[in-house]
Amino acid sequence: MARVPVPDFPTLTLRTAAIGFAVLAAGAAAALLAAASTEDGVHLWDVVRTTLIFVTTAWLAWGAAGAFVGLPNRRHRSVPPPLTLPQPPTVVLVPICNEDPVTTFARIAAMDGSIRAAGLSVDIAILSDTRDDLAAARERDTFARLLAETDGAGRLFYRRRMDNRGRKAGNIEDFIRTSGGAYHFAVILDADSLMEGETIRHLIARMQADPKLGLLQTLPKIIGARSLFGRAMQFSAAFHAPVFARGLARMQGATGPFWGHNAIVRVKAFAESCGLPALDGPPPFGGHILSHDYVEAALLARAGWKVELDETIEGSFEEGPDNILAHARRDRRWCQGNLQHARLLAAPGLAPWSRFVFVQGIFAYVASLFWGAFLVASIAATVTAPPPNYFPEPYQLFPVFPSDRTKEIVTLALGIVGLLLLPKLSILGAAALSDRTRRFGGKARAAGSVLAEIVLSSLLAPVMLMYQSRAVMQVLAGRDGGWPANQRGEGRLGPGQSLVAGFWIFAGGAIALAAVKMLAPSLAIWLLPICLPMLAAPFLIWASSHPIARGLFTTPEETDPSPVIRSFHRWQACLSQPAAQPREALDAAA
Amino acid sequence: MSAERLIDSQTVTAVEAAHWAPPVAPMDMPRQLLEAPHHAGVIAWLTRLLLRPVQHG
Repeated sequence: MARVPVPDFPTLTLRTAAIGFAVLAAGAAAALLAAASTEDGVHLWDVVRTTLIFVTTAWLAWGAAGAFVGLPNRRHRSVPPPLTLPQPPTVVLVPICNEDPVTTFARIAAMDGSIRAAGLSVDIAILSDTRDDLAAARERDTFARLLAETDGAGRLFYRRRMDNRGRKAGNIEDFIRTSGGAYHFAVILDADSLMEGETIRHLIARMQADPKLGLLQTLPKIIGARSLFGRAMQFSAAFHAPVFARGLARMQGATGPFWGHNAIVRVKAFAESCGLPALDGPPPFGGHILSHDYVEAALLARAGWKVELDETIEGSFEEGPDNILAHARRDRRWCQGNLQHARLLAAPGLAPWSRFVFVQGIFAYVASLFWGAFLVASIAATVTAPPPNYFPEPYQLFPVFPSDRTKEIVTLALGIVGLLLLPKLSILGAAALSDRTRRFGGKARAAGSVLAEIVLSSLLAPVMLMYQSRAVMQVLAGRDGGWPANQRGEGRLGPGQSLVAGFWIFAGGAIALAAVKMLAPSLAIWLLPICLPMLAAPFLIWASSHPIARGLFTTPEETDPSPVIRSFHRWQACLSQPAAQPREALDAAA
Repeated sequence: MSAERLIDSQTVTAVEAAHWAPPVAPMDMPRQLLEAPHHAGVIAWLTRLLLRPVQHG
């Protein structure tokens, strides 16, 4: 293969424009704050907070730039090329670890039916890393029944690894080392993924049509959410995420992302490029690579393979966390994985963009600490500011009052709020113009959902900021968070559970507000949007985990579920019932 | 394949049968070089300087 793919002119132009926009916005924010804060002279805390506002605004503006780049629709929707026969041998890989086998295998049964309905011959391999013997026994029972009920012997496979080395990446690697030679392509899924057979057909055809394509990532839609928190994320993933993803795809070009699932890989490319070593030293920075997907995408690009994201491919689904605690648990793992990438920034031969992606991933978490540091520096700057000197000149008759810098501060605050809100409002405007809102319950309902999502995410942002800051500090202190099993299904939390989980945030908010009220009362009003949600953290955690009625946060997948989703629900109901004749059913699997 | 191969008579649970396993077709997957050699570059040196003491501490 040729070496690292070279970005084309449009990709380079978009990257330059987005980085330029971020730097300009950050420069403007820093200039405004510097103008407002250095009137009485330049002090250390002013320099610190001006630097921090530059960095944090650059991060916000970079995110907004991604949305703006993604706003224009693609000129041509990706039309799948025809599948060339004979169809190359393909396998769907479903790594699982301590999952509910009934739900997981119901998804597999639904996908198996959908694949056959699409006229494909594709195997499905369940790769179990389940440690608990009782859970493993349930997996085997359910798999035997799955084989019996789908007549799937010879195309549905199950194997359990006794040595869980390398976790999910190691699980996939173990499959490739043992069975990779039997397949040209592998569709990598998560235990909660669902994919239409037609989508798999599309993916195979795209890989056939472009022999240099090593990995093609889809944008999975979140389904099955019930709680306020889950449904808000589900709506955001359906409404906003395609635009952000299109922006990302345009800027990343052929060095695109891999999100670890709902993607197809060329097995040969993956095998020759993605054998991950364990990093020397203990976790969290050493040991097995936790966020392996970003690294695998970078390694594929290093070996000259194209890695692309196509957000227009439909029929790709996953589930999401249904409460803040489940989200924070997953985020803790992602945080550790992204910070671990600091070890790989200087890895030999990587594309510059791959290194930049690592930096972005690190910054996504460190930014929370920077925001916190900015608040602390702002308080310190106010507390340590010298008192105003009304008579700077000797023998001065009239006092000189310091000029009012409220205008600069308000402009800065509005600018930051604008960077947060404009992308979402622009997406709403573009969706209304293109009639995309019709699939989200109409213009009024979509607008209501967008506004409700903005309010909810604004309320939850300080809570998330605290969880992220804690995660970053835990990792920097050398604490390994491991790989806790995902919590799926019912995510409703009790009041006691929410209080225990959110009390430290409540206490942090109360202490911060009391300290500011005492030390710098003039700043208290500016801190209320952060401190009030922190004070309400236990309530927010509890309330947002509760189911809400449909209506708000309507998504197309809810109103008109894809056939594979309907089939999954049927299979779930079927496998939840005891088999009529379990012994015979198991026998039939032979 | 007999039912005895599939069901443990003691526990009446299914037993992983040979034909459940994916086809055997080994493929090499070489380990990749990810970390820069010790002598390479300021970034590698800085990374080691900043991260190593933390993880051992």
